[in-house]
Order: sequence, then structure tokens, then C-alpha cells
Amino acid sequence: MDEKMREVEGVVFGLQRFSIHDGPGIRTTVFLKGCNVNCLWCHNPEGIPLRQMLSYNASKCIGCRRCEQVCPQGVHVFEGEEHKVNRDLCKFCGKCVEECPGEALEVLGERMKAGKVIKQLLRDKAYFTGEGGITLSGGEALMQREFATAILKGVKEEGVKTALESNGTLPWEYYEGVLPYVDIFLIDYKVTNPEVYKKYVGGDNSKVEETIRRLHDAGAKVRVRCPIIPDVNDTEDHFQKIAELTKELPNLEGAEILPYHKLGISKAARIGIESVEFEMPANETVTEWKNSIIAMGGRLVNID
Amino acid sequence: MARDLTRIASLSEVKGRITPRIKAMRKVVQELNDAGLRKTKLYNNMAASIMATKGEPTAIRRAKGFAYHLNHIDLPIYPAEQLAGSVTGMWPVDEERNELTYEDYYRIAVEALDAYDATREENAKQESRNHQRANEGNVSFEENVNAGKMRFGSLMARDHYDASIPFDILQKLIKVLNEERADKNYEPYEVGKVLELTFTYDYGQETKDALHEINWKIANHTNLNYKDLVRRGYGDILREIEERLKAAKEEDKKIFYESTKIAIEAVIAYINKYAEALKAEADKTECEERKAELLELSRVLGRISTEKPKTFFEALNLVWMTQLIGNLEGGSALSLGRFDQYMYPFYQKDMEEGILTQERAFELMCALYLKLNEPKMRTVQSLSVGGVTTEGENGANELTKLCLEVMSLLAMPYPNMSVRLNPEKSPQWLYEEVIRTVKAGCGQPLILNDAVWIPNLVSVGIPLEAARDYYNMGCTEIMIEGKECNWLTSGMLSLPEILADQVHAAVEKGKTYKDFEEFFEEYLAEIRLEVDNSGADGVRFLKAEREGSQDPFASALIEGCLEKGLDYFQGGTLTGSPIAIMAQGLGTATDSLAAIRKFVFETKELTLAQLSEAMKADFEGYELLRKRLEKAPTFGNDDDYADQIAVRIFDVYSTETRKQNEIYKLENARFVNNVFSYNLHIELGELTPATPNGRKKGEAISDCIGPSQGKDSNGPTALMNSIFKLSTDDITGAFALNMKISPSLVKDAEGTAAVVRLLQTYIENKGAEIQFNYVDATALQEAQKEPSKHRDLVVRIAGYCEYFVNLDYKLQNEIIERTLQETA
Repeated sequence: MDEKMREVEGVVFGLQRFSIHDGPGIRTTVFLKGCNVNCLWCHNPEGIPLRQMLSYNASKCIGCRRCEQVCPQGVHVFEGEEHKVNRDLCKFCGKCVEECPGEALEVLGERMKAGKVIKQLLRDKAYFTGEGGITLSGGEALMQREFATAILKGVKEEGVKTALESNGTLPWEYYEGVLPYVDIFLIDYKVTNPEVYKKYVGGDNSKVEETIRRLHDAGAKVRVRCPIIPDVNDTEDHFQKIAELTKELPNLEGAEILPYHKLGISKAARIGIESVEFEMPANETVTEWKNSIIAMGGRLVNID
Repeated sequence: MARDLTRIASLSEVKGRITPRIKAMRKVVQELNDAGLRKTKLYNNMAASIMATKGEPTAIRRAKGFAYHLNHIDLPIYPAEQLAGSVTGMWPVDEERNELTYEDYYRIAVEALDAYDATREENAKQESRNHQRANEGNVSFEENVNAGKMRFGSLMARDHYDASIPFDILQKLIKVLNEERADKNYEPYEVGKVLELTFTYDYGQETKDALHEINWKIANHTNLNYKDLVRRGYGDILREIEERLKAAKEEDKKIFYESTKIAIEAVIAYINKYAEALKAEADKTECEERKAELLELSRVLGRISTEKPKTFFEALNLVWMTQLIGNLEGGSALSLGRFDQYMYPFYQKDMEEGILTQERAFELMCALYLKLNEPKMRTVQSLSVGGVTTEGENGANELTKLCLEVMSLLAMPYPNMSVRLNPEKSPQWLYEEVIRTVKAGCGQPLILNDAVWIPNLVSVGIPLEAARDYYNMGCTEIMIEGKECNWLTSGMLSLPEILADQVHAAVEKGKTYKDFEEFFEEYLAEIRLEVDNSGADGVRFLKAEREGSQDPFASALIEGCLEKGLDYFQGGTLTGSPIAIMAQGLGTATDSLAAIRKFVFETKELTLAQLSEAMKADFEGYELLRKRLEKAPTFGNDDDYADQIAVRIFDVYSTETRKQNEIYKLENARFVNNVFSYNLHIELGELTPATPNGRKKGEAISDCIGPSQGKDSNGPTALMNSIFKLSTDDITGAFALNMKISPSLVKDAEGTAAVVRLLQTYIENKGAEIQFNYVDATALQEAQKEPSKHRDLVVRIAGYCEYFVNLDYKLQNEIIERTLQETA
């Protein structure tokens, strides 16, 4: 890979090592900021906007007011006991984060060069043997197309397997462009009904199925990932569609059921945004979902 | 008949193999453990014999004492037992003590503590930072540890050898009395220590004097060479002894052989007595099936009392009887060694001939494991499987698999099981079996890497073929099967305490440093000095351990003794004793040094004097500073800033330890390093003042080779990468890495495959040892709240496992803390 590609910059909001639910084997997942949709159940709400954000965890604040003293922008204001965070003023200099003894503050999103990301990913190369590797996730990883491509290409050249997670809504050329550098695509298949999709995801789902089919037909390894949210998409026709997809596309690895969890709620609070809470499905319910899709002839992966 | 070894049974499949017999045996063991306090017959028996043999040579008196004892204990036989013989035969239940109520214990405790308080000031004497200095006298490991400030028994979590107070009452008293006497500001160890000593059985001065008269030492922390025994039988050993006795010219050799002859004859007599007892029991038994079992057991014992075993069942009885006798003699941490290697020929032959089924073999292995969980057997007796054969080929076989399946089913703390993995030879299925067993959630097995231990043992003088027969003795200490004398410990360095002392001393002396490097070099020089002191201590300790000591029974079994005509303790054994110089708290020391480097020498926001002042105040009034110190880089996160500090400490400690071998060139002993912590991270933590990483006085220090509790926040791969940076070349004694794996994270197929891969990567990259705790923090918290509902929850502490509800409260908290960050 040429030096120019290593220099490509992007915004990353996390590198998770020993990530074992973003594709097969042991993986390091890179979370890229920015998303073109807005799922109400998103478990990474901090990944939706491309910009950096200041996260404040009120439960960790010990009220020492060091942040107030060091912040040049006046972001932190104490009114009596209450710590108010004026996020709009923040320039993400990180001074308060460095100073905070309680580790209550964090800047989410770091501008990084592709070369640096690659270097960090290779730290766990020894563990990637076999099926493991790296996964690009987000946000929507392909929203930072050039950056994502540079990372994929760079690690591929080092002999590391790659996975790309995407919501499947982007133009075909986005996927076509990374085809040579991706070993497995993890494409979300969230909601079948276009109206419901629009309401909860906030976009157009017409391309999703097409993306899955075209990737499949191009010979790519594809796993369909299906978040199931009670009372939103735990419906017969959605399950039927998932089953059909796996039946119609013989080379599809299968569908993976991702039951809703509430991880996103507390994260949203820390970055000062509203969130919607759904009901957590019981383990038995999740098993029922899976069984019904299997009964419809669907192929699921990673079920036990 | 051979099984498809590559097929790994699921956990539920293994659990389905429980039989009514296994259930019944398990119930018996539970009842024995619930029967309350027991008092040993050992000391009084020994003393009675010693007093009757005055004037005879020491070795003969020792042998006669052993024989007298075996002849003066009970021969209990319990329902459903498939293996006969129980250590409870010398540990009758102490009915009288068991009648004492909590109030009684409380009253005695209060009196003891009042007396202690009266002389407390005067007795508080300064102790070395090296918490185990060689004792010139004749003391056991337990006595030695108890002689210092540490509390040992109340942390042991299992019934401490001389325990004479129920563990839960002891725990309650420690808590209550500390609260009631808050004004005394006891050090964290004090109350526990006083209570332990108060409630230790007193066997009388006469007995004590008698035992000291002949320096009564027992083979312990070793393996009694079952590998040879099952090929020979006692009759053959006795024949060898008799021949050598006949040929012996010198008087001391004659005495030596005479002593081993007395010991082996006593063993044969004991086994035959059990055979008779079983027959008598059979005569009383109405149930025909049980009667037949008892008669068969009786026949087998009669046979193997002298003959070499023919079948798996006979060999198992011989091994068990010998393990039992080693314990009856007073031996602790006796290991079964490489069980799947020496037993496999019997298993294979029986399977081929169709006289053994897998179901029966499974049941018999359950019987053996259950025996090791009987009360007073629980001195961390280990069993090792896998690895390469003596010849260097893959040694994993069907029996290896069976041993792991039995562990998956029983999920009990003992035997403390190790699986040796060889990156070049071990098959894939063995890795998968290991992880299935880990997922049974009892902290078992621990994993050892042939690629580290074999070459490193060779580097300290062990012949290659012998090195291939290494095993974990007790916890994670590495020894050679059947060829060694007791494991010894000569030094116990508390790395955090050495640093804390340096900070305070530098300030008192007004010392300045031009940079961190100068400060760090001074610290490393101190470590060298402490290791050198431990070397000198080791030489004295070895002398004290061996002078006049004899063990005729072990001498007849361990390779080298009969050939040389020299006792086990007198240099007879082929490869001698390891002498461990321990280093504790590497993680805590590293984090502390990283904090000093960052805040004192780099950002310069703090002076050493300010740091010292805050530490002396135990950070009272310095909470912001303490939190700041906690933000320095820490060990275990694949961050070179901290990791390279650990690398240098470890390197200096290990090479200096190795150097002791060149300095002293001991015959029949070798200095080895040991970073495994047992309970010491708690015990030393209680003695260690506040440290520069923001840790308060009395809190646990980091355990084994691991990071400070909960400070490894980048996951298992980053932790392993930090460990890989440490040089593996000088790891010669014991090493342990505790890794927590959250069940919620890896319960599915992909998660399981990932953990198998994680283990493989660790072995491929020369990780020396690893052990997993597979339990969620919430489960532990629930068990702490409602112990009675969680009596079966087993956790790995350091190199050994124990029931969580039986642990000291502090140890419980430390394990919860270690586990918590996983799910955060």
C-alpha cells in the first residue's frame, strides 16, 4: 500500500480487541463514526454523527470541579451540586478528560490516520490465525469510504482477514470498490416493511436486499445480521423474509439473530441525546424467534 | 474399542453420565466434610513410638514410628465406595469440640485477644520485607508462615491442617472482634492471626518434644513415583531392598536399607489389614451387589499389597493406597503426577481385552477425584495430563480425555488438575477438551506449556527425558515426576513493599534523582540484594530442612534413593529439591513505578516528598491525588509505558535468582523463581502500606503474574500481549496467569471457538501457564449474599481452586473485583 493511503484520515470512536461477535474467530473491531440512518434502538448512538463528541458519565463525577478549572471554553459549569455540560462550546481539546480524576469524561471520536489504525490492529495479529481478523463497523463504516478502504487494503496486505459491517443502503459502487479487500460482509437486514423501516431506521430500505443479492452473486461471503426488536420487527412476515433470503441465496453463510439490548440507553445519556427504550426480550423468546425462522427453512449461524 | 478422540462431548452430555453410584459416593464425601472438626492421631502415635525406641538409630526410629502409626489408626469403609481407604481413619471427628457453640468460641476468643492486647506493643517487632526468612529451627511450611505476621489458616479457605475451629465461625469472629475493638486499630492480619494460634490443637509438650527429638520430616510437596510403582509393585521393591541390605557393607547404608524395609513391610501390612477389613465388611453386608464389590476390593488389595497390578482397577487401587499412605504419614500437597501416562497402558490393555468399559472407567475416575475431596485430603493434591511422553511424542490419549470429562462432571476443587499443551505435538482436540472443561465453571484445569517448561528445566540441570516428565506439584509449582525431594521456599519478596520503602527512605534521606531511570535502577538494585539474601537463606534453609531428617517410606519409592543408599532428605533423590525465591505483586509494583515516572519525573506535578506524605497518610485527605495516581498507565494493557517496567523487574529478579545457582552450586537442589501467589496477594496485601499507584494500605496486591485487580481494561489479548513481553527463558519454578472469561461473552459456538483460539495463541507465543475463571461477577455476588444456596460454586484463586463460599471474605471480594471489570 502506498504511503498516500496510510495518510488518509478518518474519525474512529473505538477499537475493540477480542471482539467475538462481529464475525468469526477473534477479531478487533474498528468503529468508524458517521451513519446515514438512525435506528432508534442503536446500541452505538455515539457513532451516528461524524463529528467528535464529549461524553459525560454523571455517576462517575465526584464533583471536584477540576474540569471547570481547566476548560478554556467554559463547557463545564457547576450550579450548586449539579454539573452542567455545555457540549456546544466544546472544542474537544481533551484537557478536562486528562484532568478528571473520576474518569467521568471522555472525548468520543479521534482523528486517526489509516496507517496508525492498521498498526494498532496488527498488535493482535497472532490471534487472528484461522477465521479471525478485523471488522470495520460503525456508524456506517462505508460513510468514510476512502478511510475504510485504506484500512481494509492495508491489513489485507499484512495477511489479515477482514470483515465489513454495513447497513446495506449505500450505492452499489461503494460495495464493489471494497470487494477485493473484504473476506466477509456482515450486512444488516433490519426491517422488511418499507414503512416500518422508514419509521424506526429513518431511511429507504429498497437497496438493502439488492446489496445482499449483488454481493452474493459477485461471489462474496455474506452473513446477514438481523437485529430483532420486540414489537417492531418480531413479525411473521419479517421472519419469513429472512428465511427466504437464506433459502434463495445458497452461498449466503446464513442469518444471525441479534436480540435487542439496552446498551445504547446509558450511552445516549452520556452524550446528552434522547433515546427510545424498547423491551428486552427474554431468552426463551429469542429461542422461539430462532426456532420459528428455522422452521420456515431459514439458515441461521451461531445459534447455540 | 478406541474412541473418536476428536469428538468433544458437550457439557450437558458429560453431565448426563452421572450414575447412582457416583451420586452416592458424592453424598458420602459431602457428609464427611460436613461432620465438623477432626483431630489427628498422627502426632500422638508418632510420639508414642519415638518414646519407645530410644537409643535406636534415628532412621529406624523414624521407620518404626511410621509403622506404629499405620497400625494404630482406623480402617473406615464407607457406603458405595469403589476405592477403599480413607484418610479419615486417622482423623476421627472431635465430638467434644463440635459441641462448642459460637458463644463458647467467642468467649475463648475474647480472653485470647485480651491477653494479646496486654503485650501487643512489646511484641510488635520489625520484620524483614522478605516475608519468609529461613528459620534455623525445625519447622513446617505452615509453622514458618505462622511464625511471621501473616495469617495463614484463616485464609486457607480449606480446612487448614491443624484447624480446630469451624471456618465460618472463625470468619465471623474476625469480623465481629475487629468491629468491637475498632479503637485498637488492629492491622488487618492481627485478629485472624491471634485466633488461629488460639484455636490450634495442642498435642502436649511431650509429643512436641518427641517429634523434635528426631527432626520428624515427611515427604510432601512432591510425587511418590507412581510411574515406577505401578510397573513394579511393593513386592519387587521389597526384594530390591533386601538384596541391597544383604550387599551393604557400611553401617549407615545397612541402617538406611533396614529403615526402608520396615517402612515397606508396614505398607504391605496396612494394605492387607484393609483387605481383611473389607472382607469382614462384606460378611456383614446383605446386599449381594455390594457384597461382591467389597469382596472384589478385598481381593484386589490383597493382591496389590505385594504383586504388581495387572488391570486398570488394580493399578488405580495401588496408586490410591500409596497416595493415602503418603497423606497418613502427614504429607501434604502430594501429587498424582502424570496420571494419564503411567495409567494408560493398563487402561488400553483392559479396553482391548474387553474387561473394562468406558462407563466403568469413568466411574472409577470419579471415585478417585472424590477421594481427593475428602476432609483433610484437601491440601491441593494435583493431577497432570497431556504434554509429550518421556520420549518426546504426543502423550495425550483416551485417558487424558476421560480425566477431563470427569472433571467437567464433578466440577470440584480437587485434584488440582493441569493439562500440559505442547505447541508442536498436542492435538487440536485437547485444546477443545480443555475449553469444554473450563466452561464447566470450576476454574479447572490449569494449563502448562511444554515449550517453556521443558527447555527451562533442562537449563537448570534437569536431563531432557526427566524434564519431559514435569508436572504441576500442588498448585502451579513445576517439578519432575518421581525423582525429587520436597519443594522448598527460601524467599518471599514483596515487590510493592520494597518500592514503598524506597520512596519513604529517599525522602527521609533527602535524596534526589536526576531522572526516573536513576530512581528505577536503585529499585532494581534492591531487588538484586533481596534475591541474594534469599539465596543465602536458601542454603541455610536447606540445611535445616535436611539435617537429621529421614523419610524411609519416600526413600523406598523415589528414584535414586535405593540405588545410592541415601535417604530422601539426605541427597538420595535423583534431581533434588527446587528452592523457590518468590516475587509477589509485580502488577502493583509496576503500576506504582509507572505513576512515579509519569507524575514525579515527567509531568513533575508531584514531588517524592508529597507522594511519601500522601502514602503515609494512607491517602486520607489526598483522595484527588490518589485518583490521579490511578490514572497512570498500568500493566496488562499492551502499553509499553508500563509493560517495559514489568519486563525489567521480572528480568532482574529472574536472572538474579538463576545466578544463585552459579554462586552456591548446591548439590541436589536448585534455585528457581516463583511468581505464583497462592493467598499471598491477600496476606502480603494486609502487611503492605499504601503504594504509589493509589492502592491503600491493607488492600490486596496484584496476584501471580497478573495486573492490579481490574486494571486490565483492554481485554484478554492485550493482557496476553503484555505477558508475552516478559522473557520466558528464566521461568524455572512457578508462574501463573489468572484470566477471567465471562460466560455471557463466550457461551455460544463462535465464543467457544474464539477462546480455543485464544488459548492456542497463548501457547504458540510461549505463555508459560494460564488458568481461567469462567464465572460472572453477579453469580459471585449472589453467592456472597446467600452462601447456603451456592455451596457448589468453585473458583480459581491462584494456583488452586476452592469453593467460593468457603473463602475468607477479603478473598471473596478480591475475586469479585478481578471478575467485575470483565462485564463492565
